[in-house]
Amino acid sequence: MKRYALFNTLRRERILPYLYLAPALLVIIIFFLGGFVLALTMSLGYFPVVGLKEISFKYYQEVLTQAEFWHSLSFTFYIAFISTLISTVLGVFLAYQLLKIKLNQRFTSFLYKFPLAVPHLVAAVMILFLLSQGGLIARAMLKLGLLSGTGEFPAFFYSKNAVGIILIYCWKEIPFVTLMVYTVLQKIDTKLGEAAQILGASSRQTFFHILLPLSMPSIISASVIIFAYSFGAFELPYLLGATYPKTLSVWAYLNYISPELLDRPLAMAINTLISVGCAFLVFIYFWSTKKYFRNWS
Amino acid sequence: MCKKMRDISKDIGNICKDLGNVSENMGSSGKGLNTAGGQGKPKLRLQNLTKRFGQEIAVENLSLTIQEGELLALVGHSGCGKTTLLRLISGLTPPDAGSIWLDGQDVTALPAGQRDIVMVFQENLLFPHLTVGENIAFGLKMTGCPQKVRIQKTRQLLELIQLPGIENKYPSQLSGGQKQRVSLARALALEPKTVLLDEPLSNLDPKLREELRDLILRLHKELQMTTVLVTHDRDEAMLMADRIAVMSYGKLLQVDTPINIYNQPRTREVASLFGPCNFLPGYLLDGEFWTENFRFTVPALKKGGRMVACIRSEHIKVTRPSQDKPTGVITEKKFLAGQSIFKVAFGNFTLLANGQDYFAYAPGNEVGLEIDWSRVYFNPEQLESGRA
Repeated sequence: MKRYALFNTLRRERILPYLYLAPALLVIIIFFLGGFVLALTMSLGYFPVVGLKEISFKYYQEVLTQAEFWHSLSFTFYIAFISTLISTVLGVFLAYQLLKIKLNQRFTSFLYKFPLAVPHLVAAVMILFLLSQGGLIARAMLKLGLLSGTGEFPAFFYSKNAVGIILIYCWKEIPFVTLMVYTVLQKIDTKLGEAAQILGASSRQTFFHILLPLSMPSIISASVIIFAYSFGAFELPYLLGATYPKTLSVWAYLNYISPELLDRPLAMAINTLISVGCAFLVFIYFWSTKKYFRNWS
Repeated sequence: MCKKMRDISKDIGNICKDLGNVSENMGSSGKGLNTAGGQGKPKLRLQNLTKRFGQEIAVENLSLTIQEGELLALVGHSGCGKTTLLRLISGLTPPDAGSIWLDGQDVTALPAGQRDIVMVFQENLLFPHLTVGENIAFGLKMTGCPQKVRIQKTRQLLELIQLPGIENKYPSQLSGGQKQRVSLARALALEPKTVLLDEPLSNLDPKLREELRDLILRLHKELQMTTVLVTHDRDEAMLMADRIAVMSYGKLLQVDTPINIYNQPRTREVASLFGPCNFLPGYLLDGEFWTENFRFTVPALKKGGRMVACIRSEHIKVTRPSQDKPTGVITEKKFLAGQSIFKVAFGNFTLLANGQDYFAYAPGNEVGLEIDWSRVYFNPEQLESGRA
């Protein structure tokens, strides 16, 4: 009886849902939040293993005053922004075209979801084989006599323009945006699209006045996710990026693996700055969608 | 006498067989239906419209003319093709065959929105991201109307629908009735001459329905619009329409005024759609109707022969049994607001009859049946062919 009474008390206090969530919450708290707290404390100069115990912002100051940081930041922002912009515009366009052509659903569904299932690294290798200076296209052009040497083929990889990295991100992210937006567009189109049509709106007007604004929360959501990912992603810029400038994550990694242990707080300060940047983006997302939803629902 | 009655029963059986063919012909050609409407200038003409969805026929070879300024109600059971017909007229769905004429112009190939026809949907379909004012002015904005005019027109329309000052609210802040009013105003902003209403009152509670019904009628008259109203509510159709078109399985069963539809239904299905009805097959001859071993004296009619009498339940009264009246046995009774309905076994038939006093009779009681033959409609062919 006592056990049941305790059970009821727990239910009354609404603890039960948290208990059910405990296994997942523990993983998040230990591995994510724990890791973040460790990084944060280390970035503030608390690293007892090497004798650093004084809390200060000097590593942030050091990072923020380095020209390399600003180059890295602008390079990271450039890659993330351009790939997000292209992916969003093309993803939304593709979603709208899919809506209009009404092809065999299974076929189109497979076609645009296929890149989602391919890991970034595999996509990178595929595009590298295709577009690098020693890749298929360059060699084909050489065979056809269009190039006198593969060195004439534009350098998409290991270059400052980061075209290769952006292309790989786009290849992966366009289907993601399409998937998110297409599902929303499908629901809007049949009903509200017809209502707009009957009121004299052309297909273009229906898209810009009804479909686009109504799918904006999902577009913003998809954009924020892909921007945050490409802003913080490490493997592609590390493998295919230029020697200088480096993206923030690569720069942080290099500081972390540096034989000089005193550089580690610098790496953690960079990581914290990346996290804060991403958190700021999430805040913007919630703020902007809240503005939409406040009026709609 | 008995031989004569047997012959009549045989003949009635043959009628049933024949009626199937007659119904087919009527549905496909529209012959015998008053599809042309009354006198006046034809506004909208549908000619042999057909629409199929795969194997399913939604609208089959349907012809109908709607007069200018007329309010026509499309009535029928769910899935009979009412909404598909409305979508064909609006241009949202292209027909497989046939043509649509508006003011003498063939508009079949014109896309929706370019036909001077607007539609109000069942679910109001207001744009959730736009304010009431922006919703109402949407059609005007699409046509490039200046902002000043749009604002002025929106205010006028809000006055017209008796909701002034709500232009800055969002649809989510409105009640169901208000949403439907705004939806109506949005359609009217384009000053259409033809309005299609797809069950606009079906999601509202009875009081709001009544209010919006009156508003639609008022606007229909004030703005001299041609209106096609889809509804499955027979009272709504009766109260609002100048003519009612009854649809079944993509075909028109009858197009007529509400009174004629009620009093002179062409088929069993039409009769049943507009209230409880009894169908007595028999033989009509020289002011007498022979059925179930009974001879009734009826008003003299020009027509005669094998007939089916269509008798509304309110035209049969349950009384005390007497020698001069046919009798039956009550099998069931129900109380409805203001009247009592009795099911009475009469020969091989079960009749629905009305009675004044619910408590005066009980199941198993023998009762007399008093039929007001002046209100009975005799149909020579169609009643037995209905698919009800």
